[in-house]
Amino acid sequence: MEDVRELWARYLDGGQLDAAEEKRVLEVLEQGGAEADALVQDARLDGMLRGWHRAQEDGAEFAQMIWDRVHAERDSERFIEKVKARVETEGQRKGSGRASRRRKLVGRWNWVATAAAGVAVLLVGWFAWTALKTPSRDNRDAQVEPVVTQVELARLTEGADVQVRRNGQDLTLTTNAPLYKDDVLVVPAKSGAKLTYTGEETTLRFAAGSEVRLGQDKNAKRIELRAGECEASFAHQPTGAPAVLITPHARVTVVGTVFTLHVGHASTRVEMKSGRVDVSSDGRTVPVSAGQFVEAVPGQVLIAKAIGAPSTRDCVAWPFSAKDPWNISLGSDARYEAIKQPGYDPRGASLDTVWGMALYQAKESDPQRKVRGKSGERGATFHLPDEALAVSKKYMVVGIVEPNGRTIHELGESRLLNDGSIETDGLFTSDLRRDAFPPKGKGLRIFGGSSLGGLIRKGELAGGIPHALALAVPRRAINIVPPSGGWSVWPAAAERPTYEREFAREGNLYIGSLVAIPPNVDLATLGVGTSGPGYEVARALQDYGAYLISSYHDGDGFTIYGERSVEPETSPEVDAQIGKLLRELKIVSNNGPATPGGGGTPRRPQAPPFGDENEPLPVK
Amino acid sequence: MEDEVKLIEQARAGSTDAFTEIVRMHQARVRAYLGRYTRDSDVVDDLAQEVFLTAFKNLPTYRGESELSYWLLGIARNKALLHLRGKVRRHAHESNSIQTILAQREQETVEDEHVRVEQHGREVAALQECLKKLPEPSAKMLREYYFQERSAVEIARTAGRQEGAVRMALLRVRQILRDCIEKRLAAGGV
Repeated sequence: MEDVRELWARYLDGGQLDAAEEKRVLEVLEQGGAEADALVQDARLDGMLRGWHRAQEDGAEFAQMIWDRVHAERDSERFIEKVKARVETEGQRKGSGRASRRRKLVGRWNWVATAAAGVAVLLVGWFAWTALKTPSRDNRDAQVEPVVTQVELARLTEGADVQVRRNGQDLTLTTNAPLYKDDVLVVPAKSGAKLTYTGEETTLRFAAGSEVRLGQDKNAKRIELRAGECEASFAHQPTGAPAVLITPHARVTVVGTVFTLHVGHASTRVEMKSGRVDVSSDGRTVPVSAGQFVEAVPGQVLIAKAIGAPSTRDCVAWPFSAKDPWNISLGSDARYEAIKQPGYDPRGASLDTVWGMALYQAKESDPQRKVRGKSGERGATFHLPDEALAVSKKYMVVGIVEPNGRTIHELGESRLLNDGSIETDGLFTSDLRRDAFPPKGKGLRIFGGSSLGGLIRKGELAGGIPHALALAVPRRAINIVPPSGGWSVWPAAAERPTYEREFAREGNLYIGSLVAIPPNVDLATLGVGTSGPGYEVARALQDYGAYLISSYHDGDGFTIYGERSVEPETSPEVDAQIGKLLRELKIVSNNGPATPGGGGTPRRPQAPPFGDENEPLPVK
Repeated sequence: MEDEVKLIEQARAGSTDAFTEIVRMHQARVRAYLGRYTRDSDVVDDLAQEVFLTAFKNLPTYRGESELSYWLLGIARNKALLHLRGKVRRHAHESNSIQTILAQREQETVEDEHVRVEQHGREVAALQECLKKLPEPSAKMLREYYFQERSAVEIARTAGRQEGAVRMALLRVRQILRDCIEKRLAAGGV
């Protein structure tokens, strides 16, 4: 139970209080007394400090914002003329005592007129006007009418003859014209237009015939695309103030990304180039990531799909069934809880391709070898490339895909015997088109399934990782006795570990635990950029998570496994980027057979089917 | 003070540089004062702009009978009051929330404080002094949180602490500041 002060501290920090927590705080506030006064005083001081901080910025910049408001307030030719006339007539009436200043003012006016610098015009005009007015009273309380002001939101950076409806008036804009809140733009039927938000890199490019209203709610953009098409490139938006694009069929919430939004008669299509948006329609919300699109059609289920993705997949490059835990993304109902004793350190983070798996595709021409476990496990005979045998060593897994392209044999440290057969420390065979997690696992790693599951594959660090990751941490961080019994939690099927005593017996991290970056974490704030290896690992951790499949003897490492061919894509920089993600990791507490990935709307579309599903199962 | 009088004269005469300097000198107090009544920094931004805009328009009517800072805070008080009245009115039909209760209390306070702008000026000045007296670890945390706009989560991440611990630490530092401000005001200092 949190103390009211803790709730209050969280409230002031912008954190959400649930209904019960808010009720507790309200009770204290409504009761009054010293405790309520203390909270109110604390809020005041918090506000003062928040107000104070922006004053640390350059006063000139702030003053410039005021000039901009003056400019916006008086942004009409008629007013300029009025001021000009007032300056001249008032100046003449005031007589020779003010001649010097009048000359100065008129001189400035001429300069302004020539330069067409609106801000300067208005400032000079306004100063002149106010300075020449006879003071009526000492306005100490300044009971003046509120000033009607507008702040420039953006500029029309490309396009001509764009029509804008502003304050009930229809205007025609030229390039570089300022745009204000609530402007409704109509892009001509024969040309496009582009606008750039003031003070940031956000740009919106509109196709011919588009109609858009530029809304703004405090510092959050509210852009209403009524018709047409918009290609949007958003700079990172302020925390807590995501930009929102609204169409007749959908609502797109943006954090910082590049995408295309097309509004048709009956639907809205969002295509993502980078980053991520949340698209809502008919009460459902789906996240749409880079390389995906969604078509919002009222009355139809909203599903994110891959842009130009193949309708089928190769089981070696992207193995295991679509319903296998490795291929199920986290869902909207996933619950996240803190890891009680992580036991790893960001400095120990790495992407390991040495111990992940060396994968070989066997050919019919490779020698057939009889392979058997040294403990007398059931053996198998299959084509085995000599080079695969050459790399084998302790703790390393070598994977041999049979020429049929779907059966994989995973071998531990192996030796060629005199009779030409192979003795191995472990042998595990599975079908790449089926589940990686069999009910009773005999896999080479402690979690029990295929060691190919979760490995980052060649090209995925650049193009995106479409599966959960495989993770190992020190044994002292892993509770080997989960409350559910056995030695692991679903989907792992661990047997009693050899080094049982090296594991912990407390904590909430188990073999088989799914850890992930919660959806409310803005990946752009983690210091891994918005593309490249670190970002793609972060995205996979947020969309799929990582299964704890193996362990270390000691140390403080945190290892994500990759397949051997990924080695050229790794670097200390990539490891450092992975290290930046660790603090965000949480355990998905409701991952289970009934709710894989936590259940609810999946964050990623289902993995596509394999090419020929009816092919007979070749596993021996 | 003499410099300020000159600046006012220059601003009245049309010097944008002089008015910019006035803004530079007084914006911290005005913003802190406004922040006292509304914690939304965007609203503080808007209101602060309006305060200086109003001051800009009414500078010719300012006779110098009170300090310029108090004159500005008087304008700020009216802006805050208008804002709070609107906020309370907008939320009148909603059930109580922390935000509405705070707004109601602040409105009552501002209404009552009709002639106490000077006191607020001293309070803001006291805050300025008390900030200088904070021990470095506390000052660093405040700088990071309020002035560098780092979240409690980010500070916690860097410092290897829990975010709840950072929030509570901030609450404690604010308490220290409040005590300091009260002592200074009671002693008639600042």
